Amino acid sequence: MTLENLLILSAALFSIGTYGVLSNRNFISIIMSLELIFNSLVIAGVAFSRFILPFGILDDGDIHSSTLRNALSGHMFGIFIIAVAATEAALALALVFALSRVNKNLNIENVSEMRE
Amino acid sequence: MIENSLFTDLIFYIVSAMIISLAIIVIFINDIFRAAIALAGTFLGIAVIYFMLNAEFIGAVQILVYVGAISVLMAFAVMFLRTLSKSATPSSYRPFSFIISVLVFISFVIGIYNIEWKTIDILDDSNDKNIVEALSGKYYELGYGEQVYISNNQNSDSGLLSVENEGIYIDSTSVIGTFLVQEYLLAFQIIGLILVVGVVGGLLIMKEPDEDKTL
Repeated sequence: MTLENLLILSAALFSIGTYGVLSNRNFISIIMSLELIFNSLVIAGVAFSRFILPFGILDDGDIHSSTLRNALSGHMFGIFIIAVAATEAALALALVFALSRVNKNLNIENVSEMRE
Repeated sequence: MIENSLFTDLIFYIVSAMIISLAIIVIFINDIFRAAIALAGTFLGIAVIYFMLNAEFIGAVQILVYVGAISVLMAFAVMFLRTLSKSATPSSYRPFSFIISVLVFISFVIGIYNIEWKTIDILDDSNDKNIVEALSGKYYELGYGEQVYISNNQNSDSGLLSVENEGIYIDSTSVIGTFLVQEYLLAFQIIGLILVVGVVGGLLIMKEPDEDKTL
C-alpha cells in the first residue's frame, strides 16, 4: 500500500463518479455519483496526510509542536468535506421530493422552472 | 517505518477491488434501490481503507455519517420514489461522457506517476530518530503555550512542563481535537452554521405547499 496505489484508487473513484454525473438523467443517481466523488477526495486527503512529509519538519534545530501536528491537516479536510457532503445530500434529497411533487418524475431534463 | 507486509497489501487490493466494483454497480444498475445498497457497501470499504491508514477518527465518522445516515436517507428516498424512477431514460451523451471520464482517469494516472512525491520513506531511523519517534512511537512536548517543542526524552531537569504523547500516527484523534479548538476553530463554527442552515432549508423545501402550487 503505497501513496501511488491510494491515489490511483481515488482517481478511479473520481472518474467513475464523473461518468455517473454526466451520463445519468435520474436525479437520485446523480446524487449518488456526487457522493462517490466526495469520498474519492477524502481518500486522497487522508493518503497525503499519511505519506507526505510535513512541511518544515526536516529543518535543523528544535521542532515546534504545531509543525508536527500539521501532518494531520488532511484529516481536518476530510472531516469538513464529510460535513458539507452530508448537508448537501440532505438538501438535494429534499429538492428531489419537491421536484417530484411538481413534475411527477425524476428526469432531470424536466427541471426547467428556473430557466423560464 | 510503515509496516508494509504482504498481508496488508493483500487486504488493500481486495478492499480496493470491492470498492471499485461496487462503485461501477452503483453507476450502471437500473434498479436504484440496489444502487443504494451497493453505495452503502462502497462507503464501508472506504472506511476499511481509512482504518488501514491509521485514521481511526475519520473511519468512525465515515461509518457513522455515510453508512449510518446518508445510506439510510438514500434508501428512504428511493423507497418513496421508486415508481417514479422508471421514467428517467438514460442520457444520449453516454459515449461522450465515457470518453471524458476515461481521459480524466488517464491524466490523473500520468500525473501521479510523474511527480516526485516527498514521502516519509526518506526519513532515516538513525538520523531522524526524533521525528520517527514522534510520528510512530512516543514523544514529549516541552514548554508552555506557543513555545512547545517536541523531544524524545523527558528532560525533567530543564524545569519545563513535559507532556507525554503517543506518536501522531498512532493517536490521531487527540490531534484532531486540538485542531478543532485551535487552528480550525473558525472553519468548525462555519460548518456548524452550514449544517443548521442546510437542515432548516431542507425542511422548508420539503414542506407541503399550502394553497399555491408553485413549489
